[in-house]
Amino acid sequence: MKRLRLTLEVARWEFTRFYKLKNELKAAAYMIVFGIVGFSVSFLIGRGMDERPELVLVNDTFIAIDSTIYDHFIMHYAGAGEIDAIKTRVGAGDIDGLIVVRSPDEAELYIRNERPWILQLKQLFTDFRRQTIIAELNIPEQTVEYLLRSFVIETVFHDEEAAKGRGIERTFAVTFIIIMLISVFIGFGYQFTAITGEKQQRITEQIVSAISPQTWIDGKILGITAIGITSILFYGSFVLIGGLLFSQYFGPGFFAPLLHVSVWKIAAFLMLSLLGILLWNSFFAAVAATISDPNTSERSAFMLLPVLPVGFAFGALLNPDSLIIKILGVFPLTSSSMLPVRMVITDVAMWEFLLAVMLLLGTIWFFRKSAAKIFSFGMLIYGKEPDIKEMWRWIRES
Amino acid sequence: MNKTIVEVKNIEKYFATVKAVDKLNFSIRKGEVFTLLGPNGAGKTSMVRMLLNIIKPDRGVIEYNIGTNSFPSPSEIGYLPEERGLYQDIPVLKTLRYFGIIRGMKRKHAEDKAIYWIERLGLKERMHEKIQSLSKGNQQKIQFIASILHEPSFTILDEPFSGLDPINQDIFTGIIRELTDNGTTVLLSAHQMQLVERIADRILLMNKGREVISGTLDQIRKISGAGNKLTVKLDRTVDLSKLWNHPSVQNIESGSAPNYVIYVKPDTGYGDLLTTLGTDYNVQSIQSDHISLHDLFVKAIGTSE
Repeated sequence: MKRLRLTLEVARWEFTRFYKLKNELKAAAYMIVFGIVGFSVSFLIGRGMDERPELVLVNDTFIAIDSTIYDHFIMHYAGAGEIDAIKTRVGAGDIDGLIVVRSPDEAELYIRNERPWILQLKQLFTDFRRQTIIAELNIPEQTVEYLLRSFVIETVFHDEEAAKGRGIERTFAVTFIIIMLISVFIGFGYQFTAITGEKQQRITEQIVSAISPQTWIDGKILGITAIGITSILFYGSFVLIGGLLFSQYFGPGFFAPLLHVSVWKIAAFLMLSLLGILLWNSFFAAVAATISDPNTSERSAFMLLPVLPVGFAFGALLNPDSLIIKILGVFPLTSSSMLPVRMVITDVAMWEFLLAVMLLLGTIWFFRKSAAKIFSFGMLIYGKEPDIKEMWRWIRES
Repeated sequence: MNKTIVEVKNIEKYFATVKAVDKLNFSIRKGEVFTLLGPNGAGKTSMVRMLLNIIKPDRGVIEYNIGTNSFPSPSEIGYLPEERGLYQDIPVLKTLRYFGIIRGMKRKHAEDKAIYWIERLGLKERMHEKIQSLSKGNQQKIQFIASILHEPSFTILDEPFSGLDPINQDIFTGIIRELTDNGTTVLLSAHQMQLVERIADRILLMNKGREVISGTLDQIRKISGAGNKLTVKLDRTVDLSKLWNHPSVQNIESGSAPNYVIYVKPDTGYGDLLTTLGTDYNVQSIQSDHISLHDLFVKAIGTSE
């Protein structure tokens, strides 16, 4: 009980040391300001694009041009004899471009520089070519429409009710994985500051003369996990407010898919996500305990490790029932990312979920224990970082 | 005699091939200031870390007689480490409150005691400032407060005077004496010989991990064969070879002639020596002193090398 109280005190200390609501609010305000600036600049750029480029067309009636082109371009027409003179005008910047239609299949565009409207021009001329050919072949409009129609396959799910919620469940699964990643990355920086910073500031000796290294590490893992989750909740509240505003606009139907969501699946995603955050924070605590200076240590590269399972999760989308994906779905370093994806697109047995949770808990326990052992051995070693062999010896000896 | 609260028996500690502590034995009694003295690398800090269970001895036993457990609880022990460190970005009061809490104090009590000590050490105006804004000496005060805030029955102060001006050194020695008067036991490791001389009840002098000499200052003087010393100023540089044969004279330093330091053998009077000096030489001034701890330290370490 006393140990739990001390662990919570350390967690509280770490949380209040690093999490500043005032700073979070300031950061949110900056983001809003940056968003407004970004939107305004995009708007101004977009306005600039409204101005129609001025083109000269030399056609010789190879292709039928209709009036839709005037919606996007200011068009002038010229004969083949004027091409050189117009090219000079393009070069001088008086005209944006010159199109010389060579045949019903191709044209040459003469311009000074690359321009974004070229794509649109190509699309328009592709349409004009098709219309020209249809007109030449004298095919009825209904026949053309029939020819261009797509083949229709209607999907009917065995469990139609479950299928209704699948889309939103997928959104939840991806959201929880993203939340976990963001939270882990937020925690990573704090974890390194908290552990290596205290080593560098020579505080550790004073602290561990009062509390055990295990209490100290556990408190840090919990406190920093709380920071990550609080940050997510803070920014998540903006998303929620945004959703509520959208629902006002789109009507209550906006949230309708939520009615079809499996509650236990969402609870499972939440649990896997929280365990994932704890797992990676415990892992980073163990890594940080081995580091003297995060600015120069090659072990800082470990921060990329949590991204790997997210990459593997795309594999689960392609082949969710393969043996390797099933194994990665319960393997502790990957399960928190892989299993939610599998749960959305295929049937996952309860034992698989329970096994994944048990292995996650076991690995968290191992990482936090290892972190404390490495820390208690290495805290008074400054300079050279212990190698893997040495650390493993410490863990075994303790 | 006060009861023994710490008993160190045959402690040995190796770091790779270096023997940091070598078969060390000592005991600390309740309410005393027990001082570990020794040159750099003597093994003092290693011994202190073993006393705190931060590192384990390779051989030997440390027995505590504080509280009910085999090792004192965090609330029963205080520690000012030689390696100074504080959370630089945290305010003074908040830091001390946290250190009090992890030593078992209630939040309110820790805060009240922290405020008391902050005021007493003249930092009232700075209590809400971040540690990094304080001078080295003031940071030292905060670290000192952290080691005694929770009123431990045993506190270990490793180099508490370093970085302090003479006035604050006096304040610290006063507080240490006050603590022991109230029953706290203090293990002191320090280099400031004059201060140690003033407050140490017993001293253990270490070199290369081993005990060189231990006891009270008087006992050490006796054991090391050191008596008093006479600082004599003559009117001119002279040959003192005649004095070497005097039965009270142990040694003569003439490096600052015509000022001479004459070391007198212990338990020998020096009335006759003074008569000889007065008769044979033209003495301008004469001063009698105990041999200082500094001299004893240098002598003992020199002998042990």
